[in-house]
Formats: sequence, structure tokens, C-alpha cells
Amino acid sequence: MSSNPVIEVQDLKVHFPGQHKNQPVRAIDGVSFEVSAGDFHAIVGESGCGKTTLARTIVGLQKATSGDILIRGQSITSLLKNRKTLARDVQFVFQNPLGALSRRQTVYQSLEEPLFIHRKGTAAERHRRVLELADLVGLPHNALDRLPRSLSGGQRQRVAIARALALNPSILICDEPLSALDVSIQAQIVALFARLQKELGLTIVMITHDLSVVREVCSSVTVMYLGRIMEANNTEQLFEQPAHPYTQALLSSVPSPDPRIESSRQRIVLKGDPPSPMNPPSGCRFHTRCLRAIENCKNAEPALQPQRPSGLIACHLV
Amino acid sequence: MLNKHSLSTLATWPWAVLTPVLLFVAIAIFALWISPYDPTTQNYSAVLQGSSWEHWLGTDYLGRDLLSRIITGAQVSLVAMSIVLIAALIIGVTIGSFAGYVGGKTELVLISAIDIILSLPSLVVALAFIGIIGPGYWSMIAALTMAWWANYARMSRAVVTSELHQPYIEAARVMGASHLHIFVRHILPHVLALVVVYASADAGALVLAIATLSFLGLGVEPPTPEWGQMLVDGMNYLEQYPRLVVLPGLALTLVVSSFNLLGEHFALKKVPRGLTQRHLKILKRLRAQEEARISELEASA
Amino acid sequence: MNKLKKEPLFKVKDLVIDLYTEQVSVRAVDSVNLEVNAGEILAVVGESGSGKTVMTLGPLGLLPEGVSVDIRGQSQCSGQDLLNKPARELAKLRGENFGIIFQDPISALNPMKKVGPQLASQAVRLRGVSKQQGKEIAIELLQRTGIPDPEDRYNRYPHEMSGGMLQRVMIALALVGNPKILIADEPITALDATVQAQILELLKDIQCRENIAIILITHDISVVAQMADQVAVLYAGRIAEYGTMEDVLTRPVHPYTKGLLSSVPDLRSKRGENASGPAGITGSPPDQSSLLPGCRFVERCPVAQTFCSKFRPPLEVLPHLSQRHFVACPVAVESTIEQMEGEAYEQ
Repeated sequence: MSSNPVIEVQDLKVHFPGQHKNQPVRAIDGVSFEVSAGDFHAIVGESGCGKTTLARTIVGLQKATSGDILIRGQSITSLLKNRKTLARDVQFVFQNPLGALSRRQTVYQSLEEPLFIHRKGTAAERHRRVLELADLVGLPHNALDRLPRSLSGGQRQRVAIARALALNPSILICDEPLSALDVSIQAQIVALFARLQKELGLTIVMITHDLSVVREVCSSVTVMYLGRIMEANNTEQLFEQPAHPYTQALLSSVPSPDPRIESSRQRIVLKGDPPSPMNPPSGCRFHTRCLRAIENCKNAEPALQPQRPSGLIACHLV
Repeated sequence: MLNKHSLSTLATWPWAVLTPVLLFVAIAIFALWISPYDPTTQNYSAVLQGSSWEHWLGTDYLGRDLLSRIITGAQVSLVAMSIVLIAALIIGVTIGSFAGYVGGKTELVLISAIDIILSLPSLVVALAFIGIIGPGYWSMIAALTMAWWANYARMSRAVVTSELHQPYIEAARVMGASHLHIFVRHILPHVLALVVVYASADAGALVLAIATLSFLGLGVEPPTPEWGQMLVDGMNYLEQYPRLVVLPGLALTLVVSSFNLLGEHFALKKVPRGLTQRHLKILKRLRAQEEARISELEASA
Repeated sequence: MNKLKKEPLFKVKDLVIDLYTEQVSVRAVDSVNLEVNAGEILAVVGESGSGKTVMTLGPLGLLPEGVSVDIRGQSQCSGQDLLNKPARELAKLRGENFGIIFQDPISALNPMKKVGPQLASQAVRLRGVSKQQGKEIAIELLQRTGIPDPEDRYNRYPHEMSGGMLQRVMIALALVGNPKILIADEPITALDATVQAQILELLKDIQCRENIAIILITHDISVVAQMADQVAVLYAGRIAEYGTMEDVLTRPVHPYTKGLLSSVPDLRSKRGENASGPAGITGSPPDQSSLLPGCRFVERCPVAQTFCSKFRPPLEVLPHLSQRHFVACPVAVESTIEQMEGEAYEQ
């Protein structure tokens, strides 16, 4: 599925020092995947699966313990020597827009800041660009003089997105961009992402736990569990025929807003909570909660292999 | 635009606590014009006089006008205090912010030094310093600066460390901002906002420290009128002419408490609390009026 | 449904709650009427700032600190008036009748104390039993809320337990006083997808087995579809639509409810059915600090008429068979009635 990948993650490991010296938190523990140009890629999983750490590592906010990330074939470690070059290509949208915008800066100042940092244009040109950005994300011009706290949640996220787009990046990494927003606003922002991706030809990687949103807008999905990839596929295939028991459970756990579907739907209710990434289970990490686990799952960790007709999977049963 | 903005917020300023401080600042600034006599001119024909039309507050043992000495004393105190505060702020904010921003071993070393200074009472630090460099006006300033900067350094470091991990700082980093840009544009305003407020509360304590050092003969030297100095001079005449001690003491008390009140006001503003009953009553009445207007509108439509 | 004139377990009538701070005065709840019967699950749905939490917890005297509150109207629990009660009596009534489950269990439990003793001391306080009995009650409650190996968990600290387990402890804590009503404020928002289902199942189980009424405060329509008997949709402190879950979710009438439902993407609807993504509602909720005449939804409403910004829309009953579907939108009610008549005519 990848003719010319723009992001290649190669056997990435990110460990944090834990409470005990010899027991690091294995937030990401050997992850490889590719995102091709123009993809709207989703990374899904529960809390503690390492999806946020992954996003932060791709934009260089987090150092990799081992492995590498290539952006258009160039290693992130060499790219990070000049952050400004990386900034012009890869941008990040944070989970909570209120925290990601300076509470002392007006919207205008926030939008102008990246242009200012990169010494783009004269004051008049920057002014034009700020207005252009506001229009691009559907932000009323009278909001430009306001502080983030006097904006609504949806408007704040629009500002954050506009700021990320100020330098015309081609890659946008979004960490749970919807989870701090209200339902009716989420729909607006999802539509905005879909439109921007088409209009600007962006490659978007969206970290999320909301599978319904993924199905609406994303083109491919990676499912993570405890720092490992369980399954990766294009959206169509993954939602129609989920192959990994974890993917199946995750999909079945999503309730429907329609009571007619809700009363009749089949569900797989997993037992217990996800284990701690400090001390992941042996063998397949999912075997402690897997309903179909066999003896081999406890002992050997399944490798990520291609599956038919498309995609990758890490499971002994397939 | 700016004028309109600042005018509209003028009404919300804490005038009750601001007025006394502003009054003293005005006295200090205009001391030269409002004091009726030169505060150092001696007049042996008018020694130790009571209050009269010529000398409202009387004269001291050298015949100097007490009112003029108190007014000029305010100037001396406030000027010395401002120099110390500004110097301590500059040193404290620089060292503290640097420690917080750099982190690691450098931070550990700096913060230990700061903690050592903070563990001693400021006056002890100042006295020790004067012991090394000798007494005098400028060594008093230097000594008090030495004793006071650590507090601001500690606060600055705390603000820097907490702001540094805010997502908006990370956002600036992702945008490719340099460390200098992040510090000046994003962190420094937060540091100053907190530190300056605390400095306003410290001003009273500093005025008192200046008076104390002068009282001990280690600060402002005679004949410069200074309240601590005046207290020493008056001590000899305490029984017959208590006003020589009481009046400068009163001035000192008023300045210190007005600065403390201002500082207290700012500190309290940081704590959220419910409204007073009176305020609530007014708001409820406003709401009731609003409600009546709405129902009238809806009825007439 | 029968129209028995039975006194509801909990009801609020013409409830108005104003919140005052130094900066703003907010009308958080604006003339709300609601009823909850024994053993029933009422879902209160709304977005942040819609007043759903303030409306439910306000009459019980539980409100954020640093805010001055003015509550008017009526609020009754099993015939007893909750408003205008001295704090001490209210606390007693609250302990006897209500169990409250908060969104974030970690901040609702004391991190310095083991979870078992926290439960036991609550039992001693509310039921007046001995310490030993308190411990027995605590272990029994842990068992009832589906915590495996309750004797062992009794001696654990909150930080030693996972999010799902803590939420179970939280539910156990809410059940200590044998409440008639459980108030669950966003009980699963802080939990993982695969754990959310477990907690909802537990709540449903408790409601069925012990005939406890539940007031479920949520923003999540799917949770409502899974759990509720009755639904009240709140918008800017007012009820937009109120009725049985089937009526409100499958035959929504109020334009806000319709917009809200269309905002929620459904995993099971085929891709391409609405390729442009969920429709959603334009704009954002209104500023509630100033009172205005008319409907609060008018700026975002697709069917707004000129009179909508002049009159406050009354909560009208729709002539369904159930007679329990209330909608605060005369425009939508009229068109729905026309449509129903049209259908009846065709048949």
C-alpha cells in the first residue's frame, strides 16, 4: 500500500525511566509502520498503548530509545539538528487546545507567531496570511483580537489547527484532537480535517480512541496495544473484516447511538483492564485478556506479518 | 485603543489599598517641593520646639524641622527600597529563570545556593555582608540586595519549571522557535507577573530593614534624614519629647502597613472565594431586574 | 404507558439556578422540570456548559467551591423538600437517599487511605453499624460491584488499582448508604473503551437487581442508547426535549436533538452514506451570562422563525401514544404533527 512513504517508523522503541531502575515503562516497544503521501492515517488504541508517545516522537518532542523515524527518507535525528526545517514540513495539533495556546496571546498573535519565528514576510504580508488562515479554518475575523479563554472549545481548536498550517506543512500529526471537544463541535472539526486534507493535499496522522470518527474520515488504521502494533490495514478492510481478536473486541465495544442497533448488537466484553506497560505480559501482550488465546500465545511473541487480502497482523491464530 | 482599554479598567483597580501607597510615593517624589524647610539646616534658636505655625510638627535637638525631615525621610527610604527591589528582581529573575530553564546539575547547584541563603533570616545575611564590606549607604543597598534576591530566584525558577512543561511551550518548539524566543515571548511574562506582585508585598519589609540597619548605624549616615536614624536621635529625648520618636515611628508604620496591605490584596486575589453577602445581594437584584425586563419583552411581543 | 398519578421518587419543578462569581453571573439552569421514578434510568444529556451537572447536583448542595449560588423552584426527594434545608439536614437526606458516582474516581477517593477502610468508615457513618460490621459491609459491596478477590482488594490503596477497578470501588462507595437514587456524573468518560462496557453493564445490573433509580449525566448518546429509560436533552440550561429513550433517539423532534444525533458518527453505518462526515450543528453554544428573550438555540437553528427570538418556547407534549414526549420548539412540533397527520391520512 506504500508506493512512496513520507513517514517510515523503523523498529521504534521509547522507554521511560520507571519507579524501579531495571523496570522501564515500555511506552513503545518495537513498532514499525509506514504512512504514504496523502494518507489520512489513524493510530488507535486504549490509554497506555503508546499512541501519544508515538505521535510526540514523530515530531521530535520525545527522543527515541532505539530505532528510527524517517521523514521522506531522512532520519529524524539529523532533521532535529535544525528544528526550523522540520517545522516547515511536520506540524502537530495537541489534544487540549486551551493548553496548547498561550493564555496571554491573542488569536492573532498566536497565528502570527510561526511566521514571526521563521521571519516570513513583512508585517503586512503576515497580516494577510493570518487572515487567510482564519478563513481557511472558518474562524470569524472578530475572534482574532480575543484571548483563548474567551473562545469556545471548537474555535480554540480551529486556532490551533490554523497555527499548525501557517508554515504550509505537508504532514500534520494530531494527538486526540477531538477528545477535549463537545459532540456537536467534534463533528465540525472532523469535517474541517477532511476538507483540509483534500484541499491542501496533507498527509495526516491522527491519534484517537474514537473508532467511529476513524471510520468516517481515515483511509488507513494502525491498532496498538501496550506499545506494540496488533493490526494495520486500510479502513475498509479493518472495519469490515477485523482479523485480530483485539481489534474485534475494540470494534465491538463501540456502542451505537441508535437504540434499534444497540439492543441487538453482538459484543465481546473483555475482562479486566489493560496491563501496565511497566510489566507487559510475556508472549503476545494481549493473551491475558484474549478470549481465543492458546498455549503458544503465552510463550512466543507473534511477529507483524502481512495478511490477506491486505494489511499486517500480529497474531498466532491467523 | 490602548488608552480606551486602560481607562475602562481604571474603575476596577483596588483603589482602597492603592491610594495610601500612591500617597507615599507622591510625597517621596515631591519631597523637595512640599517640605517647608531644608531638612538638614540647623537652627539653634529654635531647638526642641513643640508644634507651632512655623514648625507644624516642631523641631529636633538641632532645631531642624521635623515635618521636613519626615517627608525627606520618606524619599530616602523609598528610593533605597526601589534600588534594592529592582536590583534583587533583576538578579533573582535572571538566576532563577536560568536555573529553571537549563535544569540538570546546574539547576541543582544554583537552587542549593538559593536555599542556603533563604534558610537564613534576610537581616542576618545583610548584617553578615555589611560585616565584610563595611557600613555605608551603598553597602547597605548591596547587602539588602544580597539578602533579597534569593526569594525571587526561587519563585522565578518555580514558574519557569511549571510553564516549561505546558503544551503551548511544546507547541512553540514544534514551530521551530529558539530557546531565546520561547523564554522572552512565553516564559518571562509569567515570571514577571508573579514576581512583581510578590515584590510589592516585600516593599514594606524592605523599608523596615532599611530603617533597622540605619538604626543600628550601619545604613544611611547622618545628617541625611532617615526614619531609623531619627529614631536613634530621638531616643535621648524620649521622656521629655516623645514625639521625636513617635512621629518617625508612625510614618514608618504607616508606610510598611500600606505596602503590606497592597501585597496582601494581590495575594488574596489569587485565591478564589465566594462573594460577600452584600455583593451577592446586588447581583441578585440586577438579575431580578433583568428577568423582569425579559418577561416584559416576551409578553409585549 | 400508564398514566398512574404516582408520586415520583425525585423531582425538580421550575428549578432556576444562578451562579455568581466576581466576573460573571451565569444562569446555569433555567426553569427545568424533571421527574425520576423508582427503578428508572433518566439520562440527562447535554454538552459542556449545558447545566446538566449543576441541575442534578445543585439541589443536593453539591456545587463547585468559590461560586455563589442562588437556587429557586422546587426539588423533592420522596416527598421531602431539598431546597431551603439547613446544610446538616440536607447532608443527612443526601446520605440516606443518594449515591453519587463521579467522573474521575482517583480524585474522589482519599489517596492516603486503603479503599476498604474508606468504604467501611462510610458504612459506619451512614448506617450506624460497628466497625467490624462496617468491614463486612465493605467486603460485601466490593463483591457486589464485581471486584475479584474482595478481601485482598480491601487492603489496597487507590493508586494500586486500575481505572476500571477504581470506578467499581466508587460505585461501591455510592451504594453504602442503600440509596434509592444513584447519580452517575459521566461515569465512564475517563475509562478505556473496553472497560467502559464493563462499567455500564454493572450499573445496569445494579439498577435491575436492586430497583435503584439512576440519573445518568452524560454527553455520550451511545451511552444513553444503551442504558436509559427516559432522556432529557439540555441546551443552555433549558430542556430542549424530554421523553422516553426510544422516542427521543429514534423520533427526535427538536432541531437541537436532531443536530446532536447527526453529529454522532455511527461505526455501523456504512462508509459513504454520509461521505462528508457527520452533519453536526454549526456555531457554538451561547453565552449564558446575560438573559435574552426567546429560544436559546435560535442562532444555530436551521428552522428558526422570527418569533423564535421573541418568545421562550414552551415545553409542549407531542400527541404520541405515550403522551410523554415533550419538546420545546413550536416550529418543530407543528411540522411533526402535520407529518403525522399526513401519514395517518395516507394509511
